[in-house]
Amino acid sequence: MLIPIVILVLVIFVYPLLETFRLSFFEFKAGRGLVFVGTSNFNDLSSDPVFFSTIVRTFAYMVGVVAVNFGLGMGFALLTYKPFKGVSLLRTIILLPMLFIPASAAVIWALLYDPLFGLINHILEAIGLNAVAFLGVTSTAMPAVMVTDIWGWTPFVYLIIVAGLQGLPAAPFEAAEIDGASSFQKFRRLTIPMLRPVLLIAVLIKAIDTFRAFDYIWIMTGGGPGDASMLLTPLAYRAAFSMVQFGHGSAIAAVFFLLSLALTVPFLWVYLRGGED
Amino acid sequence: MRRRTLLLWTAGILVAVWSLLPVYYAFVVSFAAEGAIPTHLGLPSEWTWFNWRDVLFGGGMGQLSGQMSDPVWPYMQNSLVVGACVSVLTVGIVLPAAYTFSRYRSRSSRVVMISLLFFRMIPVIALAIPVYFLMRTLGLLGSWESLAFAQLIYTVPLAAWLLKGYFDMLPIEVEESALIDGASRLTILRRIVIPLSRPGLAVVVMFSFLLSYIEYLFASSLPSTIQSTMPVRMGLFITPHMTLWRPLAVTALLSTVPMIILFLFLQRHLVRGLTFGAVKQ
Repeated sequence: MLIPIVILVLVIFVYPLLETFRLSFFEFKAGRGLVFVGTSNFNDLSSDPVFFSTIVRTFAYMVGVVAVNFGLGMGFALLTYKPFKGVSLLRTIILLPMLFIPASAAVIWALLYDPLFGLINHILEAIGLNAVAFLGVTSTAMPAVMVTDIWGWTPFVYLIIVAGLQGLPAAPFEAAEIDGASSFQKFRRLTIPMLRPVLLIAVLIKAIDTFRAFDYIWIMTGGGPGDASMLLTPLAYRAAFSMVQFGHGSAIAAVFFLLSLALTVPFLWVYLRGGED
Repeated sequence: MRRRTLLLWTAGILVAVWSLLPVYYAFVVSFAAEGAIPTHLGLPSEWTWFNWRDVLFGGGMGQLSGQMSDPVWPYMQNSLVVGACVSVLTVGIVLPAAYTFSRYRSRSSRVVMISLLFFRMIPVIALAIPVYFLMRTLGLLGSWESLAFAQLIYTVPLAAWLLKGYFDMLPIEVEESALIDGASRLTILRRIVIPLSRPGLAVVVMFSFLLSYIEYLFASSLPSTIQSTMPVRMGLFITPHMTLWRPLAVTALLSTVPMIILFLFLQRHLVRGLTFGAVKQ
């Protein structure tokens, strides 16, 4: 009964992946189709400063987004963990952004950032600062998109952490209470160590998904201005689908795949060692 | 205690502002009349529901031609059709596989499972270019069918692992006694396993639909614009020359409707899906 899925895996995963590597030795030439060019796509990449800065930027984007995502998710979870008046309303409010698909969150935040019509600039002006075209300025374009990505995904991280917290046994906390431990001590010495397995897997999955981020960047800045917010997925996408350089795009994607193994392999190791049954 | 309550309220209000402000502003702009989107802190000088009317029923933005003034329906309809096809295909393919993963712990079934996990984690762009050529060869490029097929890349690994998890929870005794009574594995799957795992199957369908609905990379590269889904429609509002903020706000708000329905069903299962079954609720 494995035959259908094996065929599917070969067609949608194995073949395309191998074909990406093969295509990276070819280039699409108008009127001639795909032409073998040897390693010239890789030679181009190795001397392309944009490619290297994009790799660094993609790592920075991933680390920044994931760190803030889990910081906020943890903060929100601790805030709403114990019941108080209005806690269920607050939980619903925290979860609200997850109703917006990434493309919708991207356009709403593009509206908020707009220099003329954007709410953020209205607030800046109201407190006496100048309006900033956040998505059009080199130094602010990528952080502005990162904020959007964080806004869209924090509810999910929050949900995972809340589920983890609810799964913790009560006894160690009661014992710590009797011994007179402070809230911070309990958090440091009990919550974090006991949540570690859950957090580790969640962080790795989120890191892998953020490493291959595409939708927010592509809709909000297209990687610009210049290449100020360019990440690896949009870079390969632009090469292949906007500039019709399928070989060049494949070479970027092939290197990107190899880089991603640095995250995928540890994930598999952690998941299969701890997760199975 | 008073200081603690004050702190709690301050934190709560900050959290609410962070979550709600973008949604609030989208609502405000969606009801602003032409030329009345605020340019300073405040509310629109003139309100209208015409933006909603135009997005829902078309027209109104007569001065703009082509895709910018399309009503939302063709894209929403494509989203629903593609999502439904992806869900059905996913369950059809994954069902026998997940059953095998759960009941036959052989070496080959483990290899397939781990390879699915691996392919879930690789950059999708490393598959997208050959998938594009494959669709061109098959003559499907530009059609929504090509999108429905490509999105299996997102749905199949998660669906297989989730469903395997549900099958693991089914009592094996019923199946064993059926086996002794001479029922074939296929009969058992059809008469016992599928009826018992309906809730699990529903969750897999919902998740597959969700992944299809939010997907943007294939949606923006395989089908033609008019054959594509809601995320592509959202992207069309922003162009190098101008942005139609009012219909954009309306459409972004409308795009949440399927999400609301999906989350109502998925509530208790979201965490399991998000962590690939590693965290159980």
